[in-house]
Amino acid sequence: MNADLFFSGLQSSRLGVWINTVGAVYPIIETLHVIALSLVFGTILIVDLRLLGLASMSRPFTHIARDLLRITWSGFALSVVTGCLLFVANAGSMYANRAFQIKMVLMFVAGLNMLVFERITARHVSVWDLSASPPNAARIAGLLSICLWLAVIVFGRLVGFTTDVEDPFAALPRM
Amino acid sequence: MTDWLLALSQTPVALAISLSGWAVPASQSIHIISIAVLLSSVLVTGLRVLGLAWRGQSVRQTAERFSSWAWGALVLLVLSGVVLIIAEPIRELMAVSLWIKMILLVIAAAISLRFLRAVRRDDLYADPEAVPGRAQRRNAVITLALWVAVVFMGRFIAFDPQIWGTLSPLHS
Repeated sequence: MNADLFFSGLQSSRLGVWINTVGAVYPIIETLHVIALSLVFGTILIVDLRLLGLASMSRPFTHIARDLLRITWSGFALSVVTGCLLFVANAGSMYANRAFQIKMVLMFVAGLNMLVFERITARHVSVWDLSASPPNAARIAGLLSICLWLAVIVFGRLVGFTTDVEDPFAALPRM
Repeated sequence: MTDWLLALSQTPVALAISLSGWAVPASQSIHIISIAVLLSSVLVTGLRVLGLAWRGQSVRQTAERFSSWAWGALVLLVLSGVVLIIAEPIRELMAVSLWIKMILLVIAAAISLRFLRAVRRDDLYADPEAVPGRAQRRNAVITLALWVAVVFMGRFIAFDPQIWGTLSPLHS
């Protein structure tokens, strides 16, 4: 099936039309997306700064992670739901949007980084839980996480600049 | 007012910002990143007041950890916000949403300042495990709600006529 047809069909589906045309639905979804990503990035930043040994040093790492990861995942769930709705509303142009594609790849890499940290680096967390200077592997995970999520936000914002005049990637060949 | 805004939008600074391909998206990105830092700082401090996070540290210690980040983020929000206003003065300063946002922002900042001053003075906030009383907990919820409302109004600026209809001067 032709992708162009599929995604423009998605955009003109009842859901897509509803989001795009009914009252304040679109701005409300966008605002919820901003609030949700704020919770994701903000809480991840607090955890990462602790990993880097730069803030919240008087608290054990596991206490911070336990307090905040619920917020991170709730924010992430809301980001995904609102993000999917925004995608449907713009599907026709979004699937080929270069900034959007880069954002998805960056989120995948950020997820991998988190997985490696959880499965490998955090296995011996009890050794450095109270330490003000966690091991290098943990610090690298924290730094990578901050950079990747910052980039996710920047490319997320660039997704909105879709006309060729504004699109920083307009000169690049389309995928 | 419109004439003045039109003149502002034609100043060399305004033209440089709006014609440069990166100044607006860069300012918007800084704005969103700062919103994330501010909202999360207010949220975690509020959750500590409610007794739902950061237990084992006093409200005072929690506020000390997060307030400087919140104020730093607010400074970045003001700076990047000014750039965004200069880039499109009419769309921004004629928007009802922007002025509601500014009013809510002043109220939210004042309530936050008053809370932080009380936290520094009152030993009620110095206990590592204690959860403050009902009035303080309600205050925390109101503060968070106000900051969330500020984000809503900020995002609504771009949709002003759609949100406010004929109440918006940008309605055509």
